[in-house]
Amino acid sequence: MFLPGTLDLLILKAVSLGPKHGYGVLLRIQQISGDALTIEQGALYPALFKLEGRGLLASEWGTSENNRRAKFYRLTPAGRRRLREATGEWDRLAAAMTSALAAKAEEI
Amino acid sequence: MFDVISVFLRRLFRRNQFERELTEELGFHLDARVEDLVGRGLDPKEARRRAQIEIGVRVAMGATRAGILALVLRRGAWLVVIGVAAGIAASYPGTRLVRHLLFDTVPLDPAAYAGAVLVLGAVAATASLVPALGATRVDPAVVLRGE
Repeated sequence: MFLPGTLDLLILKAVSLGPKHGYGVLLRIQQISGDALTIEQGALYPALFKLEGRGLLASEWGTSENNRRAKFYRLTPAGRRRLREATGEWDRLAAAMTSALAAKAEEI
Repeated sequence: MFDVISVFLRRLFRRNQFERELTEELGFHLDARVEDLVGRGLDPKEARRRAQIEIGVRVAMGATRAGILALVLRRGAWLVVIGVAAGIAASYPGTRLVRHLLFDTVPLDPAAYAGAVLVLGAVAATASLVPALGATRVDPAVVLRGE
């Protein structure tokens, strides 16, 4: 349902708005996309695992809203850079798609 | 780079702890999801069953054995490349110290360098293959049930 790399980008964005545990990342993505995007729960943890392995996220154990031990993720400086680059790439792709789909015969 | 190495070392030397943390992380997720579903009026038993299915299916399907193996080995390979580069750089000044001890060989003997790299590379490959094979044997169903 997603283009490759979109899940990573959404996760980086969600975490950039403040450290979150895995379940919080899911809820935040739903929230900031106006409930239009739902991440499959099982796809989330492999993605977090990979992003942490690539040094884009760092994690530490903390206490959740309901007072339980939870693993919180935050952006590393490399993650922040990657988020900026990927956002730019996405904007260019979206603009190109919009312009391509809006093309009319008489303009060509 | 530091982050990557520290994550790798943590997984290599503290695999039990890593698995325990993964179990706890998924357990936290399950409980939070169950609470949400119950909050929406689902029966607790049904809520837990559904939460387990939601998270379990893709964990089980999402990662192939070969994929996990490649992931762990790639990390190990990176460390080897860094080590080889650092070793060669450090050994060059070292040859000057032992020059007068060498018999019948030149300080920068290519065969000696290649031999050392091959032998130590084989050791490193074995060292990263063992935890990599272990990682492929983690059964997601067991991780999910072991709460």
